[in-house]
Amino acid sequence: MVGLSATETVSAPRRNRRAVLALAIAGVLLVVAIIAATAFGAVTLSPGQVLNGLFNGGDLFARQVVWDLRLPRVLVAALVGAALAIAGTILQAVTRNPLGDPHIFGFSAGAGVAAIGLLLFVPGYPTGLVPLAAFLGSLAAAGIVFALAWRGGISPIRFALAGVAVAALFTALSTTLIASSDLFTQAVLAFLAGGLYLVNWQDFWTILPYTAVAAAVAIVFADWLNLLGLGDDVARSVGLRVELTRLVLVALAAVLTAAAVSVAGLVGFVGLVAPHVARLLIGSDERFAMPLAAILGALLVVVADVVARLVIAPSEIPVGILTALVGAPVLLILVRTRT
Amino acid sequence: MSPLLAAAGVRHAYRHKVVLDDVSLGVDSGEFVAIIGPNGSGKSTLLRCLGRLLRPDAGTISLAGEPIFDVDPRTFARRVAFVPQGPLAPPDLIVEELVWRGRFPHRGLFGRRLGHDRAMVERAMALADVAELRGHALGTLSGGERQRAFIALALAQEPSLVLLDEPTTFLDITHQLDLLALLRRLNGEGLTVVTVMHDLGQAALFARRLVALRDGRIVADGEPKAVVTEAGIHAIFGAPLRVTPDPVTGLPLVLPAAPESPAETPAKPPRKRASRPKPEPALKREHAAPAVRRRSKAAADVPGPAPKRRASRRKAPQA
Repeated sequence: MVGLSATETVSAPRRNRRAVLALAIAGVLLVVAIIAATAFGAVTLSPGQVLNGLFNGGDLFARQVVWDLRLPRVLVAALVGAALAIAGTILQAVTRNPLGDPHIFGFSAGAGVAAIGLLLFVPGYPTGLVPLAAFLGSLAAAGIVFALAWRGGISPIRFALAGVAVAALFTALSTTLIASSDLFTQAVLAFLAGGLYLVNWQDFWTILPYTAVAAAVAIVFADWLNLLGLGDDVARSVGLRVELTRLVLVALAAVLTAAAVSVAGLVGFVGLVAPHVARLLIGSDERFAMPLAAILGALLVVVADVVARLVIAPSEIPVGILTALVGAPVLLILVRTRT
Repeated sequence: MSPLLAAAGVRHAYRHKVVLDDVSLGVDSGEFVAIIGPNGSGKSTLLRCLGRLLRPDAGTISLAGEPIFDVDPRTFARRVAFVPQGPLAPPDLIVEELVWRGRFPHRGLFGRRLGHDRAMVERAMALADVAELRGHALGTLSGGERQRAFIALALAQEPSLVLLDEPTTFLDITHQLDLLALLRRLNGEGLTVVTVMHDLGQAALFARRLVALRDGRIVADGEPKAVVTEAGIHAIFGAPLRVTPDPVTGLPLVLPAAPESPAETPAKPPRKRASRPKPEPALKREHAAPAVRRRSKAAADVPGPAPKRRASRRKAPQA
């Protein structure tokens, strides 16, 4: 309906209208998913109860379930998904590599080392420190990747290889930490596979500013990615400061990833799959593809989190496993039917 | 008066290999310069330095007297455009949007698409003869159409100078000549053109000035007739080649030296030619050159049916 094949001949305005339409549809789907996700759980509420609970009507019980338990979790899921999707979009553009992803390039692995080190080796740590450690660990990993890739400038291929190397190194380090500790707590597993069960309003308000500001800047400057997509020579020759642009973009991706993994742990695959699904649906113009990827990423994590809560209720499956379980088939179907 | 673009004492090395060694060159407004020379002679490196894509180790390059690395990149991009060899693009990008990206130096990321921008995009597409392809995705274009689309992007920058790196490399002979005729036409309308070229015959035919590099130094610089002589070509390529005037244009033609062994005379059936030693890449296309000269001459200069069609298309956006 809104898809484009590479061989179609269309005028630019018509193509843009289709992209806006796709964005609107995805936005509506996200709102519906958020409301539905708020209804499902150990106690299932009716859509009426959810809406009443949301807008101060309804019974006290429904209001408490909606406001205190479910809504913060669902909104954090949406933020995490959007942040990872934008980070993935950026990393794919900066490296011109379809496998660009904050997970694959080691940004999350840095968070893993920091958080696991704290969880296992610092007895009596304050709980609030885990997100901070993860946030800083992720930024540090991004900085290391950038520094390793720098030699009078960033070459896309060097950045991708440095990222994969850093990911391998930090994952090995995390595993070493776990192996050398007698404790293997639920919290460690929750962090490694991604989980949202301990999420509360405070987490939401903590990551909202980082996510919102970085996402807004990234979306506003999405046309940079379009210029980078023409290769460094053309981007430079139309006057783009290519190295500065890449630095700013990677910094944005790092902040978005750090914010996401600090509260949700290592949720994989969203940053990889959402940008591809967006581009397969509406084409490669990042001014539209990046916001669509953000909405789809949010949708994916919100839906995955609901499934994570329901499948083996009252226990939960780590959400990071479900993002892959839900996202991979979607990507495969699109790749096979649209390319 | 200072030249439009000038290089003075430019040196550059990759690791320890010196690629440009004390190159000085001035390009005046309105010139059509072809940079020629053997593989690895530093042609592309020089072009990249001139286009502000590569900062040379030493020497200065200035645009209208101002050192180019002191100029703001977008200001530079409004004066000088660069068309690389085999540029990248997402296959689903349509021509019109590609050309719009050439407006970046004028409008930035947030500039509204003003009437002037639109007019310039239309003009660039008309000049590069891609207006009819505006809605086509780049992935569906032929090599020649794709190259013209990137030239349109460059023209949308409203530059006074365009630098091109072997623009005809991936094209067949017809499209090569069409593209060179296009450059010649743009040059006729006042655009300064500096292009790296592989094919000596084409360079001599289309450019008004040849600059020859060998081992990172300029070894010849002047009109085609003055540069493309047997002695001159031998100095540039170090290979024995024959230079003879084209019976039609009088411009120099470059041919391989006369074969010595009778087994290699042209009288031999063509299928046996496969066993001949491969000629130097720069010479490969020379055999075809005389046959197509007439045609390309017409395309370039004489108002035959094809140019007329282009001329009418070019007027369209102004109406």
